[in-house]
Amino acid sequence: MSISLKSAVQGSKFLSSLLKPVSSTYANVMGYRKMGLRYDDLIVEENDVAQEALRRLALSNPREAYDRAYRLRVAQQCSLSHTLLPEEQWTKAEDDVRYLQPLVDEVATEFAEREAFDNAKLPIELLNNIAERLPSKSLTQLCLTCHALHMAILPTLYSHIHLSFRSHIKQLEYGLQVSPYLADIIRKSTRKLTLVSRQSGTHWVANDVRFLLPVAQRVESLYFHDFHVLMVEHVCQVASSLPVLRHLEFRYCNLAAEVVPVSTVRDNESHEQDDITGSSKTILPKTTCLTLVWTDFSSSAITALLRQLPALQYVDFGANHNRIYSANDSAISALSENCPKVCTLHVGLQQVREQTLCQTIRRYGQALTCLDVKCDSVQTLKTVAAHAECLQELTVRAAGPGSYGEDMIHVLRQCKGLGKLEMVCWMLEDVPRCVWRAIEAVARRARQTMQARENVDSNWIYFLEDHVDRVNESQSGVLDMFERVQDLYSTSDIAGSSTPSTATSRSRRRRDVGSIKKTVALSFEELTEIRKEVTMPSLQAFIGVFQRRNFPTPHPGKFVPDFLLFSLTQLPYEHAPPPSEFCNKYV
Amino acid sequence: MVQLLSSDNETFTVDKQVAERSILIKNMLEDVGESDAPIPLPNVTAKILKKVIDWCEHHRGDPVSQQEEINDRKRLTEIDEWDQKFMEVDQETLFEIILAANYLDIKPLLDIGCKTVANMIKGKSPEEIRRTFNIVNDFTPEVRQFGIISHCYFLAMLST
Repeated sequence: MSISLKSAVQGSKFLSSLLKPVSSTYANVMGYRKMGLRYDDLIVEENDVAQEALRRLALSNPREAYDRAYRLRVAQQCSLSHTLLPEEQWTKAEDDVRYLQPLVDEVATEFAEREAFDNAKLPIELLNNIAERLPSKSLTQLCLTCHALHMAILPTLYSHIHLSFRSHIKQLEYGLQVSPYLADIIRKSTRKLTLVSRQSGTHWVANDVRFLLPVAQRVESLYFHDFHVLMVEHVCQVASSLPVLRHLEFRYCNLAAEVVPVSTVRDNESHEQDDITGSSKTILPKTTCLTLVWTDFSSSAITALLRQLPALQYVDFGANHNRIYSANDSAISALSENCPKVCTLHVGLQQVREQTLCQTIRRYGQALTCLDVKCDSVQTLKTVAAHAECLQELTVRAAGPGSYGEDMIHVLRQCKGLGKLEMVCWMLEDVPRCVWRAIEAVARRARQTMQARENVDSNWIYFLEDHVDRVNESQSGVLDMFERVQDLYSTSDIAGSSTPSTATSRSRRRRDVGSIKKTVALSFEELTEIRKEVTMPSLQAFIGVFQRRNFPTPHPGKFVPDFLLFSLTQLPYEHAPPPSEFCNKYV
Repeated sequence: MVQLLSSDNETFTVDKQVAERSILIKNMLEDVGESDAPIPLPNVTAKILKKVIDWCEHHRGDPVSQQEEINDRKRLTEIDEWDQKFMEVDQETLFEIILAANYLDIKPLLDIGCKTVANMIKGKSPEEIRRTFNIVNDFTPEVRQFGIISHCYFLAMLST
């Protein structure tokens, strides 16, 4: 803060007559006038405020701005040549007006005001962090609040474009026409594109979205939803104009291939054949991920689609209600014929013959790292054990009767890298004993880590102690143990849903269990422990116990005999106790 | 025990375990090794540092980093009851806590802060958001026109 006596001096004749000569002498002595400059030419301009003021000067008074530039040039020249201007060109005292200072003051106050009001001073990456948590509705509202937020949020808003109604598509098209900026945003930041069919028509996809495709060149994921009839040709047409498309997903669609009338088949056949074989290598060479969720298809449609996807690595065929006989089966065989690079395979399709499945597993063999299949008989498990030794994740859903225990052990023995195993819908007695031991190990570990904290849920402890005791009893203990496990699930599920915010580490722990839903998690240490046990020859001894069926069920109402969902899940290391703590207790 | 020095020269003494919730401090301790000298934190004031330490004390036993599912929008805005209480502060403090969490690299706290702000924005109209955060509507008429045009597609989605 500087105290200015300017008004006082100007107001009083005496003071002004006294000081004026002093000040003009001072101004002359400073020397800038001798270079033809004015006092305001000396204002430091390397900051936002001065820059803004200069910008306004150029707008409001171009002549002044030009003169300023000229004066600066002249002065620079003088400075370089170490000369002064001839006296008649010096700036006269009456010319030396403050032409810039008022503007600088104005801008400075504006800036200060904005600073005072502007609370949202978060850096852009934090804004994005917040924006990612908001639905697009809120994002739109946020965009319309102020200029800065508009600029910051727009890329997040347009990162996923969701098109359904025709009117929206038209609006977006219009927006692209009138604003090149919007086109730029879409070009840079749109990564996902969802097309939803609201009308029963199908043709709009290929034609109506055409305007968007040349712009949305960075789209990596393409989703189709709710198409009653979706021509594979149209899918390819849309997908082929997206050069970096990696993920293709269909939800609740019905895929169809163009039906060629019988009479014209012969004329078109050679041509079509050329078309498909000629372009099969180029249409979608980069798409590595395919997901089908409740999507039906005809054999020819799925084959035509898979033919365009030679680079597939992740394939997820979700369950569907396909009415076309053997279409599901031919999907699997078409997959193994056309897509040699598959390493992750989920097959939820029904009506797939076990033989086809086994053939596919055999074909991919060691390339498979993640497999999720049903299991009609022991044959599937045998095939897995024999061919897919490099599996890291395995889910088997028992679909047919049979005793899988022994073959499961075999799989565990063969697939040494297995980090996650899920056995879904297994008969209780098919679960190998070593898995029960794994539960015990988990229990022991859980108790240990729970006690390390202050708040331990008594139910947990009760369950664990009880459980460990039971295990030591006999084979019938398995049944009680199972019930106990169920108890645990139900309590944890309840805890997860009803008390979402009890703020203790205990509830957090329980919620974790709740959120993994009916799975028991084993840490890496225990998994290796099991594996050690599994590879021991003595293991054979107790398998027999589990091959007996028809357990007595003491509480028929409570006990669910047919289903057992169990999994060994390898958690991230953080969940395991730190190694030192663990070693102290057990080693 | 670790000593932390705030920007306004106030010293806090905390457990090493608590201090190591901050990846910045953790890395610093690893690099420097044991030392009695207080760690200077020039970007954090005493008031905010106090809050942050409170949070770390409460969450000292949490598993260090859980892989969060980003897919689930709901989970992205769900906040623990204690944390909700913790975040009941005026906006300036809230933003400063977020900035401090970002600077100290405490991801869970940063997440909670961002969630809190996200919840403040959710379901509000632009005018309400402006009022909540004291945002000046600086759209010139042309820009507003442009903005509306560019969003007409998303605006249309709102009305459906």
